[in-house]
Amino acid sequence: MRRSEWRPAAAALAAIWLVPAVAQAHERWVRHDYKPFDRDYFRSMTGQVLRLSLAAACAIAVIITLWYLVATVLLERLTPTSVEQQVEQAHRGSAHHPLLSLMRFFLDGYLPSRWLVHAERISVFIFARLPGLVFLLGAYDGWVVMPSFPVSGTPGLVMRVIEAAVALWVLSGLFQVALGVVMLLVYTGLCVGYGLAAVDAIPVLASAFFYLFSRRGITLNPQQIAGIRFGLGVGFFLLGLVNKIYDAQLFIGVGDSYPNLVTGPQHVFPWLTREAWSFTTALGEMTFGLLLLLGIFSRLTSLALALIFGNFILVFGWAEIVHLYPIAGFAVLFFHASPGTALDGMLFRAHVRVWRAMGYRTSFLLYRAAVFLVAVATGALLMFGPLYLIVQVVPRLLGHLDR
Amino acid sequence: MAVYLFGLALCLIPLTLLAGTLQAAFELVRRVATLRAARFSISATSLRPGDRIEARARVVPRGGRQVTVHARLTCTMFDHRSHRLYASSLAMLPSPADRHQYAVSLTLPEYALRTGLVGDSPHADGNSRRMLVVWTVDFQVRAADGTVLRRASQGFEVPRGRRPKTHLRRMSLLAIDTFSSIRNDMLFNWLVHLAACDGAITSAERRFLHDLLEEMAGMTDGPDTDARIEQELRRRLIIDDVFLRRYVPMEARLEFYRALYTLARSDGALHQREVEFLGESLKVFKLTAEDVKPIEAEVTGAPV
Repeated sequence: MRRSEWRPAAAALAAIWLVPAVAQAHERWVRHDYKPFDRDYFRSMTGQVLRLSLAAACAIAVIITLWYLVATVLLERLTPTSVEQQVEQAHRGSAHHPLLSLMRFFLDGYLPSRWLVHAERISVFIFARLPGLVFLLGAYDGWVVMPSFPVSGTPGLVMRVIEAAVALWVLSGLFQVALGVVMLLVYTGLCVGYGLAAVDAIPVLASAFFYLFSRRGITLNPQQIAGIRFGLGVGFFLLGLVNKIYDAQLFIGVGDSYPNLVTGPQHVFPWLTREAWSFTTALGEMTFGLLLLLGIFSRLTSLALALIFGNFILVFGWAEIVHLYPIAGFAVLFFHASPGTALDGMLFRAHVRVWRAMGYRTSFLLYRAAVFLVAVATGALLMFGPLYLIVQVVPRLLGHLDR
Repeated sequence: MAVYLFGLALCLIPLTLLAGTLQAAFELVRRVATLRAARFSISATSLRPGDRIEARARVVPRGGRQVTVHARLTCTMFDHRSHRLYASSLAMLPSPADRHQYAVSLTLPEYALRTGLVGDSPHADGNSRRMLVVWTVDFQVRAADGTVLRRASQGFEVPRGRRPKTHLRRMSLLAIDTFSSIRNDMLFNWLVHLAACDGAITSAERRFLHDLLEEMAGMTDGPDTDARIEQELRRRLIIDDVFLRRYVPMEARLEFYRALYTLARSDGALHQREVEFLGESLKVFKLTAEDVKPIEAEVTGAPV
């Protein structure tokens, strides 16, 4: 069958799949019986919420500033680029020091290593096939894509059979572009059928773009990387914003069902109430999700997010085994040398504007000013903006609409 | 776990502020403690390729402290970060009349790129690149142990320089052309430093350099050529090796290596420092030992 003939067939399969069911997502699929809590905490951008939100926006701005002004400079220093540097390093015996190589690796530098190439190929292979195993598990356990989306009855049985078929398709590695289209349709269906709970399945978009942009003979291309970044970064960002702030009862319910999750951090941060615990966890996920999306400290961020998901598996056991799927995505980003960040273009334009404003004279101070502008704008627009919207604007808007 | 990681991210805010403040305070205190005054200027704000520009400095150290002042003519290309494409560094000489006044004359190379914005068109395709090209004279005041006590940078415009190209293929042609122009300058500078890296420049090496100068620039006068060699010894010419590797064809890089190897061999066996210099040159030009084996055999007359 030709590729063009596959697309309508795949669309039809996805259409059958799009049967709405009862929404139960992520925090939704582990026990989350909540006790009464202060809902107004999450409905007003004042006090602690305002302070934490500003701190998160500042943290993003500082990390971006550190990336451009410290990390890239350090990386250039660690990467010999002139005769003098190389000769000096050779004299000091530090040119190939493992610690320097490690630093270059975690600063997203390129390391000419066969081991890394193999690791990247293996992680790409696993990421390409792992959805198949997750889908097979779903077909066996009675859910679609993730435990957040359970199915039952005769329609459920039909969907489980289809899920198993798609799983085998994924495992075969054939017709990946068509598979990408199917994945996009699946996600659209989850949005239509399950509403806000579809936030849990955003990592499916990472797979969808990965398949959609795949090209024969190329292990991983920039479009695929951008797609994985988008799927996992936005997914993680929204997991925090929606599941832990907008629908805070979900996560507070998890905390009430597993009290150790709250008491542990309370030993370190004594001011942490249940509400503040949910809010700061959300901010943590949003911060690292945003950094992943932007490609800032890509390897460190991928590692941090993989640790967070790995921790879920350790805490909740088998129920969270599907998180191996995004972990495989993080592994791809971890082993792939980052070609640049999403802010590079913005920084260039900001620098040019500052350069023009200063009468076409330049200095590294102007460049630093441009970095600072971009960092602050990113922290304000991409971190504080969505928080303000969800905490301050949306509740009032919905309240107004209800009246 | 996200709570702890968020806590770590928050820790970066005070740490960065603290480190930034401490560094700025340390540099300020060191500057105030070591220098009574430091002022820098350049003689022009707009230059044509081939023009000379005078860099001037008035540096008054505190006490009997010995300092040196350096001026570096630099071309930097910014995309989202900076890439130093060209840097020619010279030690500034104190004036005989006033030992606190320093001056040096720098020459803008004939192949200087035009300053300004290139690319960044909304219609740019994947083969285009955007860049901001700037020329500066960078000043450094150094202590006797080499510690940089003060930095300053003065920009100038090169409105009639060579126009950089945005299309990658055209950029490659420009880079090859630029490298062809810069090659003699860079080659001679590297050769002088290669000759001097094993201690002193031997008579065989000096003869090689004289011959080269005669061929390149028609210089036959002994004192003039010796003065030029001394001048090259005082300056280091650097071109971004990433730029070189990306755009300059292998034949050109091999030819460059041939000149270096010929000079290194001109006084007989290779000195350890020369071997290191040649080894690092291979890395800069992304050449392997296999690539240059025929050249080395040809120069030494050994079978391949």
